[in-house]
Amino acid sequence: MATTISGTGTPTIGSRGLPFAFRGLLWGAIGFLAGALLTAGVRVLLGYPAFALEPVVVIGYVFGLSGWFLGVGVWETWARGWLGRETVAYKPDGWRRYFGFHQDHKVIGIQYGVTFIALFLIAGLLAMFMRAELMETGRTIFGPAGYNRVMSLHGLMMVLVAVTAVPGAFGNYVMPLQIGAEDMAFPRLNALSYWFWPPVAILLLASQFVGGWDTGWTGYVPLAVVNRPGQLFYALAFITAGLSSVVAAVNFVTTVVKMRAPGMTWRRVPIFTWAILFTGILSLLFTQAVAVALAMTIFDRIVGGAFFDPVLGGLPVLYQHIFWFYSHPAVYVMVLPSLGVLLEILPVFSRKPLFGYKWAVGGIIGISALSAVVWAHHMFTTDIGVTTKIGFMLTTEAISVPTGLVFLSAVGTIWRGKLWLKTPMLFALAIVFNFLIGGVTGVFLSDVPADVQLQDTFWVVAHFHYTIVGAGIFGLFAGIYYWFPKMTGRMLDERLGKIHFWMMFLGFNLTFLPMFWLGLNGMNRRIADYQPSLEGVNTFVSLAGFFLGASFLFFIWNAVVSWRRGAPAGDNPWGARTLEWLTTSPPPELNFDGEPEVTGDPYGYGTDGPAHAIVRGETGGEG
Amino acid sequence: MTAHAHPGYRELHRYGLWLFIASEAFLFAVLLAVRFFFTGLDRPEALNVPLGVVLTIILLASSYTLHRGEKAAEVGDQAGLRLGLLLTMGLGVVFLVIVGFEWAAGFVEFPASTPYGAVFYLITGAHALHLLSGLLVLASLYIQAGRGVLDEGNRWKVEAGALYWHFVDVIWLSVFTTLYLL
Amino acid sequence: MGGDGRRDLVATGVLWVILTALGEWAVLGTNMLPTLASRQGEEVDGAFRLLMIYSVPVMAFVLAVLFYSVIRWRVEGRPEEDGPPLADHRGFSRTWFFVSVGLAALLFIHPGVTGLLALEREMKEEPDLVVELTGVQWHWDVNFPEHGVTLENPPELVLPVGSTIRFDLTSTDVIHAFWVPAFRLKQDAIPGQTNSVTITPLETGSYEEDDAFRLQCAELCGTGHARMFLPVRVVDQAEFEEWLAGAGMGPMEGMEGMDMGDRGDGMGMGDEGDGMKMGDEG
Repeated sequence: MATTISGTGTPTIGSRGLPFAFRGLLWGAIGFLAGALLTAGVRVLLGYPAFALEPVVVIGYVFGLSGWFLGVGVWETWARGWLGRETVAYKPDGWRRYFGFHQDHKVIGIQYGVTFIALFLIAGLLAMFMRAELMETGRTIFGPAGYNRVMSLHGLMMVLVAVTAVPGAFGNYVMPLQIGAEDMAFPRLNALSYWFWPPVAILLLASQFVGGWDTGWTGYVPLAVVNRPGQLFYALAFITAGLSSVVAAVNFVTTVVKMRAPGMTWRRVPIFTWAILFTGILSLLFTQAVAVALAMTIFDRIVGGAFFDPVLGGLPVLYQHIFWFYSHPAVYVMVLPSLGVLLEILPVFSRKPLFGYKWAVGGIIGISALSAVVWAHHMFTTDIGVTTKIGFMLTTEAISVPTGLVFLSAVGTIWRGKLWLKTPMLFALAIVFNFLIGGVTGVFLSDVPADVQLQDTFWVVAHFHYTIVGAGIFGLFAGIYYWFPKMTGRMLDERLGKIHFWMMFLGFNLTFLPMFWLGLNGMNRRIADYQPSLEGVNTFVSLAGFFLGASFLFFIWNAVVSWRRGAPAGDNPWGARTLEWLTTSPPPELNFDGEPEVTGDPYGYGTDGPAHAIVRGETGGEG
Repeated sequence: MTAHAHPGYRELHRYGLWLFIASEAFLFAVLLAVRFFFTGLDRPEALNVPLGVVLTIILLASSYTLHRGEKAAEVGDQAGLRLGLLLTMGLGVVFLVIVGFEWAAGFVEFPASTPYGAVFYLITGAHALHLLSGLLVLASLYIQAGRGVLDEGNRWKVEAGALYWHFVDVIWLSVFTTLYLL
Repeated sequence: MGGDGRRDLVATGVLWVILTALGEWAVLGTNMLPTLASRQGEEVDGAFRLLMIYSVPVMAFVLAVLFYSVIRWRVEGRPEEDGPPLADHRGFSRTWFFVSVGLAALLFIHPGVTGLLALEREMKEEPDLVVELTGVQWHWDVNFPEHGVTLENPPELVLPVGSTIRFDLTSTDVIHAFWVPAFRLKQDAIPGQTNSVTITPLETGSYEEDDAFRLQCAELCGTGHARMFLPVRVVDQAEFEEWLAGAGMGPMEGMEGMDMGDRGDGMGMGDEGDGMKMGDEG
């Protein structure tokens, strides 16, 4: 049995022929057809017409997903073992390793990173179309039906990007290095979590051939029940993404808890790893709730269930409770990893210890704990009763305290530092600025008397873009500029990076700051058209949005060129202390050419204390 | 080369499986909460409570047979393991068949278009799907036992399969209590 | 934070005071809110302004440290040496923590709970007039039960100034929401339940003069959501009764052809017939 983590000595596959991803598509299609035929057969036996789109799609999809996984490499590397037969390892060289069931966390981190940057750019392009529609009043390019579809697709894609990109790319690539592990605890589960994503992408694409859906990413009922079939694809895509999150979360939590190198006590765990641990705990527990909400929607759609139809005794508001029970913790899943990146970068580029490490960790834990009990602040206008409102107002405003501790740590760290303003540091400082605005404007929404005016307006749009883009996505790019040298062995171009930063920072603020004013002045959200008095500001916002969009062209150019021809990075270009910098760039197959041992504080800059870690028995030179 | 210090295979996997079980427990906690939010403490007269008791007894018995199989495996008794797995799977199949009949009767008395019906089919359906996946796991163990690969080094696989099955049984107890008794 | 940092502390403090003063001047001196035309809205605007006043010093503090640090301690090129090893400062961190707890508690109590309770009291007030509003994809139906007047998809909603009006909200299909920006309060119209909101218009006005006078659907309800608004006109009691009598008699002039496509500025809803019907399929 090939049960060893390294898989040494087992035969390997995938080095020739078509990449396994293609075989996955084929087997997935076969599985889908088999499931569809089975459904049709059962329907005929039960006396229904053979074909009905939604049941066929649901059952076909379950079979198709199984076929896809087996085809992409689960069969040889895993499933054969379930039948008591020998498994083999998928370990091709070069580009092929990214197109099959590869189990190395470094491969998977890059798969996640590239996939989610692509999704981010596509969803960002959709935002450009939205801003083009909103340039002027009246119909500009696609009118209300088209706008709602594009808005909904933008929303869901960006939510999935925000939830997944940073933990997927850096949680996978960097976290095991930071704790001195040779890989994740469960490499096969890790690969599994990644390969859920192509089916999600296929579902989102397919949804557009059956009319898309127009409920935004939240999928509120009853609209989501009476809507066209695209809504079903939305629900399936969301559930699939949730499965990936749960699988990944099991892996993250186990890895951080169980795989830390000798000497890495909890007080020596790098802050980014802390953030990933709590992101994992939140995903692990709360993702199940959104699956329930969406399963109820599917149930109502397919068998005419009574959950959300008031005529049958259903309760539309129930959906919102369950949905936000997941989705509010989910917004911290979007932000916590990036706050981890922020606090990881600040000490390195300030040449100072992370200020108030314990406070910062406490902040992360406090945010995570409180996030479970704030969901109904999305529902202050649904008539939930005054006591409930007071309770949720209390918990929501309380969450500003642990969030404030992250700011405490950030401003304390840069104070009197030696600030080295390289691109990663610029992005990190921008997070402090953006997240400050995002956080303070959120307090207005937690306050019921103010919320009744601001809810469902562009104030909300501006607020969550300031948190999720201003912190979450800025954190993604901060992480890319910081860890790209580790992942590729090459430096990104500093000049292009600074152009990207300044365009993105200015474009972002010019786009979203005026939206607060729009919301205050009567622009409700998710609309294809607005009152003529708001046209001037909307035109400005659209132009700023296009400027923001253009900034990513510099990033793409920089990333593509630097990956091939950038200056060699060396092991530790930033002079950082954490373990990922004590190995080669990129690291060897088992991450370290020796035994990592943690001997001190990860952020002891300027102190006489011992190094954070040493790697014993290093052979050096190779890799 | 693989001398990195990390806990043993079994400890690591046990921890991961417990995390997964915690996650699944949340799934059912939300589902069961839906029942109370949705229909309070009302339930239809037509609900066949004795049949629910029979289902409960079947699953408890299946946990016992599986436990016997696991004990057999610990002393290297492969035949005993296979017998235990076979009996457990048989009980699991009987359970699913009875649930099928119960559904067929229930569709008439409390269809999915009634609040209780919707809750009932969603929750029992979610449980049945978990039981079905448990059956697949046991079937896989049965095949592996037949090939003689469940030796000392793979004891964890039996433990994991059994743990998951017991978990699905415990979930049934809470489903039974929630749907049939309260 | 160490003797040699005293000048920096003072300079940052001065910067904080300046930024706070500028911020408060901007907050107090400008009106960011649209026309206010209801008594209940005063509670909302009061809460909003107070939160603005609270948030200025908080934001100014972080920004002062951020700006001062970047200007004062930026290094050209790779730093030759590390900064001082300030890993924590008990006094500062604890003060930060307790101040933030205090601020959160303050916000929660006032304007949070006080404002909420004041609004709840307003909602319970005995109304002079009841208006039943039903959200339908994608228009509002209006009923005056005390007058026996029912208007399907009317061209405008006329309300009497100075009267306390209770709006009873529901929906026939999906969730909609009641929102008149000039009145401030928002409340969802949910199928299967009736939510109420009580409003006392204090100013006359009309949509033609100010678009804050409109009943806008504020919960995404499908294709026609953006244009699902009903112009509101607040008039004196006599004029209201006159309008109501005329409306009760039958179709008013201008009623015919008042579908969404004709309501204004060529959004082109009318020529997108299939789009309009999408949501009805289920």
